[in-house]
Amino acid sequence: MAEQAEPMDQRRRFEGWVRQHTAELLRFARNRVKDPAVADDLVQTALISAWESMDRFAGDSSPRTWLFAILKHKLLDHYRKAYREGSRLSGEPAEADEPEAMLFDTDGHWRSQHAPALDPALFADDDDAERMHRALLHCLEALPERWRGAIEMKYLLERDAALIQQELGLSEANYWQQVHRAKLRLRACIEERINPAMRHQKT
Amino acid sequence: MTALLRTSCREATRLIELRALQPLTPRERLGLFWHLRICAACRAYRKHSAAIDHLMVRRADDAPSVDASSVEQAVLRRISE
Repeated sequence: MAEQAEPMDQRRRFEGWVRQHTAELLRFARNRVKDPAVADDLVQTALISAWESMDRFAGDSSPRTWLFAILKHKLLDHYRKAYREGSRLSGEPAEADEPEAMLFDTDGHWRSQHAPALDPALFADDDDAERMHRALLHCLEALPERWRGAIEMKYLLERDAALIQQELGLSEANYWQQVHRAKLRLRACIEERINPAMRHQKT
Repeated sequence: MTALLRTSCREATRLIELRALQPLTPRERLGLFWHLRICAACRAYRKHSAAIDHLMVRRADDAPSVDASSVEQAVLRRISE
């Protein structure tokens, strides 16, 4: 553990990184995990494993990049666990959670009250960024944790779908089903939230 | 041709997600292309989906008032052991 010529220097350097980056790492984790206490744990674990592998920090990336890479791994572990536990607890696939039957009719066409509307004001580039951001976070929290894992991993791993499937131990079709469901729910939720006036009549 | 026109909205939205990460087969591509020509709801879905991707990637990581001190202290204690 960090045994080099000047261990004191090494420690002081690491302490500096902790002071400088912990808040930012916490914000990152809290925006990606439902329970703030879990997010804090993940950051703490990440920092401690960083310290334990300090001698492997090559210095060819910035400390910040390196710490974020370690945190992302911890997040992936968390999602994988949440996914497995979710599947175990609810049994495969939880019927009540399935958005498809609600959104599409038996021919696979949008039920009219759920069809996305091409309102140019909605999801526009210049839409109030703060409002969209809040809606996104709210709607992510509303997702079942394992779908959230599938969709968060998609962005964390920067589109390496093969790796995600491997990480989750999922077949390709099954993984896509999770992402598709998560996205369908997320979209419907955001639409409702940012434009309640447009809320479709639920009859 | 008629087979191509049978792509459902459910299938089209799945292909829109799939396409972001891997190339579609020629059959899937054509099915989606024709479906989008005739289906305004799925065109809206495509637009919203891309907007969500954009938001997810550029998500502002500014949670309100994070108190980092307890995690900081716990880590500093651990590494001085």
